[in-house]
Amino acid sequence: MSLGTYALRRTLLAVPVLVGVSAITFSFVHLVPGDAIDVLAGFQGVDPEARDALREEYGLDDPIWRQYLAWVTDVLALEFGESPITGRDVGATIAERLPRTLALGVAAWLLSLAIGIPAGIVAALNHGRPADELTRLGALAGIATPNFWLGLVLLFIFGVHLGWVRVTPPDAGLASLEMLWFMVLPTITLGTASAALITRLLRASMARELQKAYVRTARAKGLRERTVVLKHVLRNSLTAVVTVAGLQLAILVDGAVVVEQVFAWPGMGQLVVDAVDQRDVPLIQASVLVIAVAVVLANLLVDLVYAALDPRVRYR
Amino acid sequence: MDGSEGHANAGTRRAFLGWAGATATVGLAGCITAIEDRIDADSEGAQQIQRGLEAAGIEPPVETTIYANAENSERVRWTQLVQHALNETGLFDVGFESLEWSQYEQLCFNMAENEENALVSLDVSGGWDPHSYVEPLFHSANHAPAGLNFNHFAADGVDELIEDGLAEDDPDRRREIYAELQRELVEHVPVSPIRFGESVTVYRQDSIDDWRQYPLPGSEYESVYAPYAGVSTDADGGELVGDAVAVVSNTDPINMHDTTSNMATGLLYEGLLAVDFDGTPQPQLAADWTQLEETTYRFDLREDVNFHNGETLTAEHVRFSLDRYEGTPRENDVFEWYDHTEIVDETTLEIHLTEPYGPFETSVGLPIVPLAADEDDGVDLSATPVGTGPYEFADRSDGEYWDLERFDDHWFDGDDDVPAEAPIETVRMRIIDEPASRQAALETGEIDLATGVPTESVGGFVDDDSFAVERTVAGQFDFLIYPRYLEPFDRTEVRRGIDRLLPRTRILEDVYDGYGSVAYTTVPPLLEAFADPDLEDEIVAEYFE
Amino acid sequence: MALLEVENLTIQFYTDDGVVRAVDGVSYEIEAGETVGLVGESGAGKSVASRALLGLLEDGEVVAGEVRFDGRNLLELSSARLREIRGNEIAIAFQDADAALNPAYTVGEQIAEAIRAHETVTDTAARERSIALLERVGIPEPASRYTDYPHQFSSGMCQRAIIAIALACDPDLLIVDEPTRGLDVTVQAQLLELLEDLSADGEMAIQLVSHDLGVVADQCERVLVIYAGKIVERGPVEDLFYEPKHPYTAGLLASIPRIGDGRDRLASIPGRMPTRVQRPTGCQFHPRCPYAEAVCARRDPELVDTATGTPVDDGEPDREGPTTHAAACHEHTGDLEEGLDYEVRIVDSTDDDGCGESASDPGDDSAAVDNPSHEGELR
Repeated sequence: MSLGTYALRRTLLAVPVLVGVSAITFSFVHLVPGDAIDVLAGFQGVDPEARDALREEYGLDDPIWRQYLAWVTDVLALEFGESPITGRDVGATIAERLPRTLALGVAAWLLSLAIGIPAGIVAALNHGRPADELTRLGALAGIATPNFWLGLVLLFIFGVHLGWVRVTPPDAGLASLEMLWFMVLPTITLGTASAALITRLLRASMARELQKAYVRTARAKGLRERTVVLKHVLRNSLTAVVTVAGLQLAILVDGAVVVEQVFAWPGMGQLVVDAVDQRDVPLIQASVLVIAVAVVLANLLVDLVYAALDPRVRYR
Repeated sequence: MDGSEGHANAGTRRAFLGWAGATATVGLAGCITAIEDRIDADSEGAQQIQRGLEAAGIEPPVETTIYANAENSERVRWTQLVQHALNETGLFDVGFESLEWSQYEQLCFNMAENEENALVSLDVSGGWDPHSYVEPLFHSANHAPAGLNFNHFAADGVDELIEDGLAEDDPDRRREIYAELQRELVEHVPVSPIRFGESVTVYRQDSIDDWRQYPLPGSEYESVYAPYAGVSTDADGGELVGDAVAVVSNTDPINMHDTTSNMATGLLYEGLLAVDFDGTPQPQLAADWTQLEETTYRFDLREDVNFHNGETLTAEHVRFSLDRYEGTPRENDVFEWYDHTEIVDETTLEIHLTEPYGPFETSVGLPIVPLAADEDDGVDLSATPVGTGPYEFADRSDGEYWDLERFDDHWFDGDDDVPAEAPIETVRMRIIDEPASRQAALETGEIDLATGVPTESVGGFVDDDSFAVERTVAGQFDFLIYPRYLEPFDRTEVRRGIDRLLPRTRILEDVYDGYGSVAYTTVPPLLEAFADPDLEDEIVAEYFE
Repeated sequence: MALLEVENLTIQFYTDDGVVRAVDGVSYEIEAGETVGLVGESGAGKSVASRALLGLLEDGEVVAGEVRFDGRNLLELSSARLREIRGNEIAIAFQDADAALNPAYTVGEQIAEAIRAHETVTDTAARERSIALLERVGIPEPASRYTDYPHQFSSGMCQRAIIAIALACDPDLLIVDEPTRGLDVTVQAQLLELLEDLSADGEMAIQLVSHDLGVVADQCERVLVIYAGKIVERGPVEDLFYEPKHPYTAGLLASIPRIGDGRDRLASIPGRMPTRVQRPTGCQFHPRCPYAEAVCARRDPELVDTATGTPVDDGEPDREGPTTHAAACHEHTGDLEEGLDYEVRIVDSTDDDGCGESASDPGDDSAAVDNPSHEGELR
């Protein structure tokens, strides 16, 4: 099976997953204790007349499958309705936050790869030597450091004391240099633990791969050591990393709450926390759906990259 | 967090619980050093407890647990001090546990139903009227989880006094009722007040002149321009950047349920009356008002007051603004006392009450909104608020900032204290959740003032000449809740004995760095008309010495 | 000057249990175009010695000796120079072909890569040559198989592909390490046929490493028998085959499985090779040797000319010529009292399997399919 065919098949397989995710998300309204009206109205005490109006507006008297279909149709049109708490359009709220989260999440993810992969290679190639020990220590520190603490420390050193960066986002576009410069600290804060994790994984995985017979074959061909490591060993070692790195991408997208707090970054994490606090069910629904779709897509990406790296997957 | 607060200008009758907010601090709770002044087992408090235990036939030590929520490190520390003080008597074996807020909230609201053997610690904020503190906490109609009466306290005398205080409109008589109520509450000890809080604002001397702290949360920015109170502030370059501790959620008065939205719209909406920085109701959109009967008030509106959308204020606007609360989440803000509005002429109206209402003048100043809010294609106050205030909505970035700009068509013509034109042109509230980050932003000058600096960091700003620290007593107090549905805490003697043993001074000094004052009653000193120092002394003499 | 001259090659491993001498003073040479077998049980050191030639040891260290190839000492070459020789002048086809191919790349790419490593060729040229190589090693439909991944190949085909990689740059010396291990009998036979074709060309020298004396016997002109890191016997294949002069060789001969013979012959040498760390005194084989005497435990026998009893291994490889039949056993220096008491019987395999092929001449190229069957009886 070619990679293209595999990609198509794998993408089609994601569809039922998405349907499942949407069904679960949809059922939030009915799973939360209390009348769906109260849930949709944000538990704010609604008088009977308004209740009937809401009941009609949300079509709560229709059979459940019809409600679901109506909801899915809206969602596909990116219409998530209005938040009962803020009175604002949920889709617009998410559209405001999502790019910020994606920008930070992807930046942190790229950083974690940019640090984790070379560090993992260096550690694996210098197994047991000082460079390896140093990397291991660094990785351990990276995993053990709470990002809340790291963020504040970076903020006070580089923001307050050295004054190199702002401590709150500048009044500039997301793609502006100013904004990119500001994003350095949050990116480091968010990416450190992932980088450490990837380093450790890659180190272990590469150390294992280096023992394999095909490495000897590659060397016996007279290939440069760099080719042996980067073309042969790394590619096979990456399969272990890809799985984690892909999930990490999803985690970075929705797990940035703390970093968002420290750097006053208006992302999805904070939005979800606020939505849960305020029991803003439509907003929770939409956020969860967006995050779930992100996770499904990340998984899909993982599978595709995995298949590209390891042809055996495609034929299974 | 999810409690709420009326508009500063409005009756601040809803109490709300604090969890972390401004007072949250970075890092872990400090270690509690051993208390040097050991508590004498023969002290009056210990003896009271002992008598209570004997009467109940309970052998000491009594096992229980004291709880705090982990986000609030100051609270964690003071509860540990209480734990220590109780264990010192040898009569208690108190454990300590800290929970995440959501779990903690569950524990508190369900403690009575689940008969939890738990001492819990909370703080509560209210408004300018004592009713806003005592009613939710102690009236038997407000048992948790529906209300804030966590340990299901119920006493006929107390319920009656609370109801009398609400229905009485004679100030002197009200003072008497609330004094009587305080005596009753100290007698019953359903909870122990620990400390009255303070509101603190820190600002940069070089960017802001004369900031005045409004004592109630949700009204921090009144100082920018408050003609009704004779207060205004200038900022360097006509721009003010301050902080907000949470997102601006919903800015429509009938849906507003959080202090940040309230704060964000304080300069934007105006009401008939506004309560000044000392708690005195002052005319705002009303030029004058009189009480015609027990349940009827007449208001004469100012003329030539314009809304940001061009409408001109009329009596109809007032009626519309009050009527539209019906059937909304904030219905009780109005309909607890409001019957109807009678329009006398274009600028004169009468508000009819259902029955006499004590806190009417601090309650009536609700935001007056344009009639366009009624139309489907009119203004959506939830997202883009429109009022008559000195500032109008300019821009927002959800979760990032909230911008206001001076409304050049504002009605005020200037007087000796306040210029006709607000000195500050633009106000930006930058949303920063994390207290330490607010502090950092203030230090780098990215914000000119911070309303939510952790108490333990304030000291550093006090010592620094580039910053000014503005503090006032606040409408807030910390308190300890007893599981009074459980032996031996069902015995007044035992609670009173514990109450006597609480290390209030030590908590104030060690945990809160002296910010605030020790509390023995549930009426904050902010409410000058009701907080009687003589009564306080009397109570202390009788119960604590 | 021979194509390859290995002299006193000594390799140590450093393990947690101590220093292990995996190869202990091995000397031999291979002439251009010659096929030489290196035989011994697993762990005897034959694979390690082979890898050491090209500096492909992963954790061991060459502590003494020289490896001269075309007059250059490979052990002293810079890694860049050595890399130019690897896969180009000397190529190795490793055992365990399934694992020796990278699962992530197509078989064709793995061959073409070897060509590109040493020659400046266009991608198309590399591809065409790779397809030709696949054809040469007997892969059917090589052009379409070029884009297959290793997991789409059978084990036998993988082994052929491995050989194709080794042949990519027409090496002067091809080292084949255990080409038949793990393959079923039919496939083994096909592979041996391939090797025979390769050696028949006569231009390429082959060092064939195997634990199976039968495989070696078929292919090689000369054989080296390694036991516990040392050469214990060597000589032309016929001499060694018909007249094994070392009891270990005799034992190996006895363990060649005969087609159609149901008996388990592999375990016919009792005991096990010494562990690498704990080695016996004297002759390394004596604990397993049925003829061992007191002297065997005291003194390590030298490799001597079995005809004259004079040492051949005095630093100069094969002073007497590489075809000398030599063995390291006290018998040949007259130090054994009882002597070696075994005889070799040649059994005509036609009696057993009816394949109709005489195995009487182990060097016979025509003995293509069947292994010659021997019985070394140890009494």
